[in-house]
Amino acid sequence: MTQQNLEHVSALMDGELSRDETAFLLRRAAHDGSIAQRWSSFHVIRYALRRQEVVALRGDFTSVIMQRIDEQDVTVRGRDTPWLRWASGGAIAASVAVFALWVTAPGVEQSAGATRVATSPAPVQSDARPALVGAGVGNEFRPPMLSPSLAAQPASASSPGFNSATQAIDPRLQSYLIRHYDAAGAAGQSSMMPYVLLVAPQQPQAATSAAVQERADRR
Amino acid sequence: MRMEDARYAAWARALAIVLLAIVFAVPCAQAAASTDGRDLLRQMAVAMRTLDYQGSFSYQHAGRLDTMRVFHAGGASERERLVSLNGPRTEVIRDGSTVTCIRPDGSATVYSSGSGRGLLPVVPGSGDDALGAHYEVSIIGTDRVAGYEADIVDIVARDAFRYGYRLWIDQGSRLLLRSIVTDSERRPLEQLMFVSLDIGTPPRDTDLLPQHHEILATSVASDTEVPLRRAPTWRSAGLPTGFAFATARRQAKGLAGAEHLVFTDGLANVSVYIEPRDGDDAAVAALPGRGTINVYSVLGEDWRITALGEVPVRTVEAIAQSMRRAESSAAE
Repeated sequence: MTQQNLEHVSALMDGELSRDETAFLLRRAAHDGSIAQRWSSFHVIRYALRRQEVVALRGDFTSVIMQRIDEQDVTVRGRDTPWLRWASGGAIAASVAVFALWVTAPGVEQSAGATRVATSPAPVQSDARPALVGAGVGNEFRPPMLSPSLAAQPASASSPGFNSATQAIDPRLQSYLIRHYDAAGAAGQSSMMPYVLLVAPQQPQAATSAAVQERADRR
Repeated sequence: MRMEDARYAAWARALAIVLLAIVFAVPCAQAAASTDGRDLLRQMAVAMRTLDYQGSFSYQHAGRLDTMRVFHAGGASERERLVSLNGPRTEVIRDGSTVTCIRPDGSATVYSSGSGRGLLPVVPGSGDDALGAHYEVSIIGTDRVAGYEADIVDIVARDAFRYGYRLWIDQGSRLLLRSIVTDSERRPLEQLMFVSLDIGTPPRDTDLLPQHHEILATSVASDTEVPLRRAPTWRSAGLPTGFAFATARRQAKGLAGAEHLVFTDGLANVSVYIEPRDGDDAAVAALPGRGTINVYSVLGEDWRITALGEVPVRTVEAIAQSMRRAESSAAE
């Protein structure tokens, strides 16, 4: 891969490649597998830097799809009405998208017995092409804004327990606790968790687990 | 016949001796095991105060998992610092008899402490008889925590007025490595466990200073307490089984009758604050517990009684409801 192509791939990643240059790069990628490979590598690096899960598609992504399509029973109906043709085109695109996600699930190796796809055959129009598959090329490109990790892992999807709001200890309770620890300690007694409770974050108005458990028992 | 009789008699004597030995040996062995468990607790209390250590631990409570770091310099002048590693930054620093709490907003409150107790869990060095009467203490095995080999001490409460504990104590230094607090049904309520621990290395001076670079305001707690030199004005009309009066204090500048009483069963402690009613009544009554600490308030005609302790709700409730003004004081 030339230095220019490398720079173009990088610019495309950043969404800074012009329309004509993008078209040129895609045509080159159709014949140069290293461009697609570099594209995938850039995505993996981006996900790693963002600490996102890496959802890497297999290198033979599109060829597998095309092979599956070829194995389907294709019925060409030349006398369809225009609206039906449009509807069938949409159905193809949707089914291929679902099919692609299923076939290329990360970390799942296809077993020998899974070569036949158990989806119901959809009426296929011979000139139909899925939007994200580049003209029968054995490589895959994604626009930067369609990052699978971003779509699959929004920030709000983290554990609510860790993400929930916390509040500082009530000053009255802090005073009670410190005097409690101090008085008990002066009397030769002690507590099991002195001061740790003062430092631990607390969820707003959350009843203690001990109290909740005990109230449940008493009911 | 006489020879056989003598032989039978000898066998019978031997058998009786063996049976007696078994009968007496079993309780003695149990007592020894129990004593060993209490010895470990005493040694742990000493180790937590005297040794230098620093480490990070996780604290699981109320559906949360938090992490904290502790720095401890043992010896005659004990210094330590406890800081939260996640969530709002909170610190507690103890330097001898002074405890400073630094809140997430950077404000600090300084408390003058008379007990000189540590920031991390310790158990009483006295009161063994009371401990044995209401808890069953035993060593139940060994485990490995934070890279250290530990003895596991099980403390089972004998009734529902107190919690149980399971402690992992380092076999070498006797430091506490892990603890679990359980309810009367032995269900875990909270857990503390070191994930990394360095024993024997004194913390640097900078580790014992607050890391909040911009402390907005420092205030000295006004509710300083002093020991009560006379009989308390208040008493309990009926404490839960095993609890007894331990000590009484009053606020240095408080009203007559405003007192702080402490009750203990040898391991768990309950404080009762008797304060004049004021605008804080509703807020105090609504105070939520924290961890295994429970709070219960009762409003009297002139006084607010608040019981607080690391015991079940039923215990703080029973103690708060049992508080009465002593007859001699009431007649005054």
